[in-house]
Amino acid sequence: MDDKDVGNKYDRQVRLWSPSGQKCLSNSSICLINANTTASETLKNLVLPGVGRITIIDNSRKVTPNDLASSFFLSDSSSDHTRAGRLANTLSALNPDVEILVEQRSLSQLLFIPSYWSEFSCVIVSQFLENADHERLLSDILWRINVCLIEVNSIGFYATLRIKYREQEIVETHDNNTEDLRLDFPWPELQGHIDSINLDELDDQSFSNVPYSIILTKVYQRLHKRTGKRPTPSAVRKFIQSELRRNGEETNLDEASNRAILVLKDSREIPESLTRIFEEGENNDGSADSPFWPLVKALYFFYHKHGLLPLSGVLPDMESDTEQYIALTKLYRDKFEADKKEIKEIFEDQYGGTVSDSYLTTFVKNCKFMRVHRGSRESFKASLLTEESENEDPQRLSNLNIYVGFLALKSFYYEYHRLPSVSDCSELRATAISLLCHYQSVRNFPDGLEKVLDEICRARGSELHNICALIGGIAGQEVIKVITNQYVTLDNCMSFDGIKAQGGTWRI
Amino acid sequence: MNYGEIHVLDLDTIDLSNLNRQFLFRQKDIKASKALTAVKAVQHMNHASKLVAHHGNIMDTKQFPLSFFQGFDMIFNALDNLEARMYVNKVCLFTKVPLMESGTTGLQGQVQPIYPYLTECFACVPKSTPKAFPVCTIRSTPSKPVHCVTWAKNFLFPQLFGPGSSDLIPTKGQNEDDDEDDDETKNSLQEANELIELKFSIVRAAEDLGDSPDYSFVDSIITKIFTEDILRLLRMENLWTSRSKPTPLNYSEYSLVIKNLEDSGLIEDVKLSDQKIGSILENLQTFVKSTIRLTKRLRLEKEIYFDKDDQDALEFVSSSSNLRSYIFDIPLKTEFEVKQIAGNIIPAVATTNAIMAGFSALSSIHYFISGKNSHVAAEASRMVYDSSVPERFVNTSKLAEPNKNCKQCSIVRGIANLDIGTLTLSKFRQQLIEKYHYEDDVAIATSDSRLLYDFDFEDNLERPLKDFIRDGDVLLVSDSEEILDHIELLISDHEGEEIRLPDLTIPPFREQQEEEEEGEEDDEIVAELGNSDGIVILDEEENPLKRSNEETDESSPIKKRKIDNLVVLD
Ligand SMILES: [Zn+2]
Repeated sequence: MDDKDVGNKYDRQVRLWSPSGQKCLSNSSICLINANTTASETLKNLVLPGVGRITIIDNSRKVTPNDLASSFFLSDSSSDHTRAGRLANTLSALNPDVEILVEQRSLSQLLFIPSYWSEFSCVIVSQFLENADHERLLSDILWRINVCLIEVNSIGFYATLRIKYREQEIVETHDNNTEDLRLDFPWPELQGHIDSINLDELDDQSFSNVPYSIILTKVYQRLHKRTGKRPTPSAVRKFIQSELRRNGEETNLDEASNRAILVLKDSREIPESLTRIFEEGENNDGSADSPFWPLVKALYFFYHKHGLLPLSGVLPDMESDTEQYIALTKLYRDKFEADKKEIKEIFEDQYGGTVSDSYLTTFVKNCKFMRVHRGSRESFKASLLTEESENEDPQRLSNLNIYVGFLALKSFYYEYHRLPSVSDCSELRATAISLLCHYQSVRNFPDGLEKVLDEICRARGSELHNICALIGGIAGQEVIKVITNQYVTLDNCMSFDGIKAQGGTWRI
Repeated sequence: MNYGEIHVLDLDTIDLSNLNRQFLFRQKDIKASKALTAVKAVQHMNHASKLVAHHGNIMDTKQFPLSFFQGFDMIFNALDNLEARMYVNKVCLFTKVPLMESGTTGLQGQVQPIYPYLTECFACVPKSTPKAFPVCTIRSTPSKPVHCVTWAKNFLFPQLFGPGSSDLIPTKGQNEDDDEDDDETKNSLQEANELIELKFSIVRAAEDLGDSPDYSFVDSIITKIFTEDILRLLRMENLWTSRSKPTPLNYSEYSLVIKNLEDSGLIEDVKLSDQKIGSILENLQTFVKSTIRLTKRLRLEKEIYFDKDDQDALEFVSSSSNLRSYIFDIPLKTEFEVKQIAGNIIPAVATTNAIMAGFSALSSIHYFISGKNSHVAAEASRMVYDSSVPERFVNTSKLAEPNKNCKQCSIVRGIANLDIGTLTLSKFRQQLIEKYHYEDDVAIATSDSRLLYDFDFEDNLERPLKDFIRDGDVLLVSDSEEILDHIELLISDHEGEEIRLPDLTIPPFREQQEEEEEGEEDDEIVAELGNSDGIVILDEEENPLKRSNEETDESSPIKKRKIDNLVVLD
C-alpha cells in the first residue's frame, strides 16, 4: 500500500488527529492481556484505525463454545485452537497494516522480565489477572516506566474502565475555545490597526466588510470609556443597533451582535487547570527528554510579566472582504510569532535546552487549555462512597456501586478462581463487605449495592456482546487518546450501566 | 440479541475510506454493495437471526413502498444526510413504527429513540442547513477559499468533465438591451459559451490523445479561465470600486516549464504532498496533470462527476481553486484542506461508531421487553449523546415531548388506500367530506404545495388522481371553513379496490406557522459547503447483534432492520 492509499484509508480519522497523530498510532505497540469478547471489541477499534503492533497475552487458553457464541471475532473455521490465535487471525484480516502477535509465554513468566514491558505504548487488561500478586506486579512495573495501564471489564449489563497512568501531559486537547480575539486587551499593533479604521468615513460596501472583531473592540472601547466598566453584551448589542446600523443588512454587524457575549471574556483569566499546572511547574524539573515542564515555567514567566498568555493566533472565520481579513490575519499571526519567540527566548535563556519549532508552535497555540493528569495506582478511594452517598444525584451513587461491585467481583475471582453465579450471592456480598471495611469508607452498606451484586451474580460471568461493543468503543477511544496524546483522556475511572444507559466518572 | 429478522438497506458501495471503521468489510470488498457485504459477513458468524440485504435508495418508493416499512417492528437509522433522515422520520410518523435515530461526527455521537407522536421526532428540533453563497460571489467576486473551491467543484469541473452546470449559468434578463445592470449576466453568458467551446476541445482531445498527444488544449483552458475570464471581469469596473482587483495569471511565465514536462511525458508523475501548500507552478503542474488524466478518462466514462475520493477530480478542484485564489489574492489551501471543504467531510472513527451502535441496539431493548408497548418504552428510553469531554462521557436525558409546532409530527396523518387509476379527484373530495365531516368544502394540495382543488379551482375534478400523484405521495387536505385542522394523507395505490380512508381524530383548526425565511433569493443561491453544524451524521456502522445469554422471547420472532444509506456525502 503506497502513501496515497494510507492517506485515503485513514482520511476520515486523520481529520480528527492530523497526520502527526496518525504517525503516533502507526508507531505504537499495544499489549492486551486476556482475549475475551470485551478485549476483542476493544482491539477491533485499534486495528481498524491502524495502530502499529498488537501483542496478545492469553496464556494459551483454548476456544470454548461459549467464546464462539459471544464473539464476532472467533470464527470456527480456523485450525488454531487457542483463543488468541484465532482472534489474531481475524483481526489481521481487518487491516493488513497492523502486526498482530500472539505471545507464547505465560503472564507469570513475563512478569519477571521488566524490560519486556518497556516497548509498549499501552497495556490493556481485560477481565482479571489470575491473582492479586500478578495485578500488583504488573501495575508496579508499568508505573515505574510510565506506561499506561487500562483495565476494562464487562459483565451482563455492566461495564467499567480504569486508567492507571502515572503522568500524562496533554498539549493538544482540541478545546473548542482556542480562538483568542483580545477584544479587551488589543496589543499596540492591533490598536493601531483598529484606530486606522474610521467607521464613519467608510462607504456602505467597505463598512459592511469590517470584521466583527474590530467592530466589537471599537464598541467595547467606546462603552468602556463612557462607563469605566466592562460593557455587558446587551449594551454592546444596543450600541450596534442604535449607533452603527445603516441599512439593516450589514451581516458583519449581525455577527458582532451574535457574538457580543465575547466582551465578557477577560483575556487575563486562565482556566483552573492551567493554574494547577503552573503551581506544579514551580517544583517540577521534568524529565530530560521532554521540554514540557521547562516550557511551562517559561510560560509562567511570560504570564507573570504580561498578565496575559501568548496569543493563540487562531482567528475565526468572519464576514469580510479578502483585503481586510488578510490584514487582520497577518496581525494575529505576527503577534503569535512574536509571543512564541519570546517564550522560546525565556526557555533558552533560563532553562537551557532546545525545542523543535513544531512542538513550540503546538505548545503556544494550545497552552491555555493544556492538561496534566496525575494518575493513581489505587483501586479505590475511601472518600468516594461517603461523597456520593451524600450527593443529591442517585444515579452517580448507583454508578459508583457498579464500580464497587466490580471490585468485589475481582476479590471474589482472586479467592475462588471463578466468576460467581446465582448461588454465590451471599459470598459476593461478604466479599463486598470486607472490601468496604478494608477501605474503612462506610458504616453501612451503600444503598443499591446489593442490587448491583445480585445483577452481577445473575449474569453468571457472561459477557453481553452489546455492552462489550460499547465499552470496547470507549476503551479503544481512550487508548487512541493516550497514544496520540491528543484530546482529554478519561481521568481516571468510569462505570457504565447498560440498564439505564448511564455512565459515571470519578477520579481515584 | 437474537432478533428474528433483520433487513439491511444501503444504496452505496464500499470505498477504501470506509475501512478505517468497518469491521465487516475487507480490502477485497471495495466497490461491492455495502448491504450485501455486511449481511454476508454477519451470516458467516453463526446466530439465529435471519438477515436480508437490500441494495437501493431508501427513498425509492418503488423498491421500498410504505407497506415494506409497515412490516417491521423497529427501524434503525444510520444515515448520513438530512434528506433521507427526514424521509424516514416521516415514514415512521405515517406507519407509527419506532425509530432509533443515530449519528456521529468525529468523537461525538448521539442516539435518539423516536416513538412517533409520543416523543420528539427528528423534525421537532430545527436542523441547520449548510451555508449557501450568492452566485455572483462564486462567479465574479470570491473573497474566501471556500468560494474558489465551490467555483472549481460546482461550476468548472462539471462544465468541463460532467454534464454541465446549468444552475450556475444565469438566465438571460428579460430585456437584453438592459445593458448596465445586466453586464454581469451577459458576461457570464459569454463565458459560458466559451466554456462549451472548451468542453468540445476536451472531447475532441479525448478522442485524439493517442501516441503523440497534443496537449495544447490544456493551454487554451488555462489561458481562458485564469487570464481571459479575469480580464473580462476587470472590465466591469463597478465590481471593483470598493474591492481590490484580481490579477490575471501570466501564463507565459510558466508555460515553458509545463511544456517541457508535457513533452518529456513526466507531467503525469507530478505529485504534490496533500499536506503542503503548493506554489503557483506546482498548482499549474497539478492542474495540467489532472486535466490530462480526466480527459483521457472521458474516452471511457462519458461524464465524470466530482467525487472527493477520486484523486484526479480532487487534484483538479484543488489546483484550479488555488490558482483562482492566487488571482484574487486569497490564501491558498492544501489538497487535504480542499478535500475537507469540497467533500463536506465528516470525520469518522471506529470507536465512536461502536459506541453509538451499541447504544442504538441497547435502546431498542426497552421496546421489546415492554411487549412492544410504545408508551412504556418511551418512558423508559433515554436520548444518549456522548462527547469528547471526559467528565461527561455519556449523557442521557429523558425523551422530550413532541414539539407542538413541529411541521412534521404536529399534523394529523394517515394512510389512504385507493386506486389512483380510477378514482377521480371529485370522488375523492366527496369521500373526504363525508368521512371527516367537513362543514362545507376542502382544499387538496400535493406535498410540494401544488393546489389540485379548492372551491374556485375546479378544473381537475373529473381527472383521476394518477394524473397528479404517484403511489406513496402525500396529499394535504385543509378545511375551507377553517374549523378542522389540516391533515396529511399518504396515498397507497391499490388497483381495483374501493377507497379506504383512515380513521382520524382531527383537532380544531390552528393558525399555520409562518414559513421561516430561507435565504433571501432562492434562485440566487448555490447550495453547498460548510460543515453542516448541528447535524450529526453516521455514515455507516456495524451490526451490533449477537447471541447472548439474555432471555429474549424466542417464541415471538422480532423483526428489526437497519438502514444504512449513504446518498450524497460519502
Ligand atoms: Zn416532530
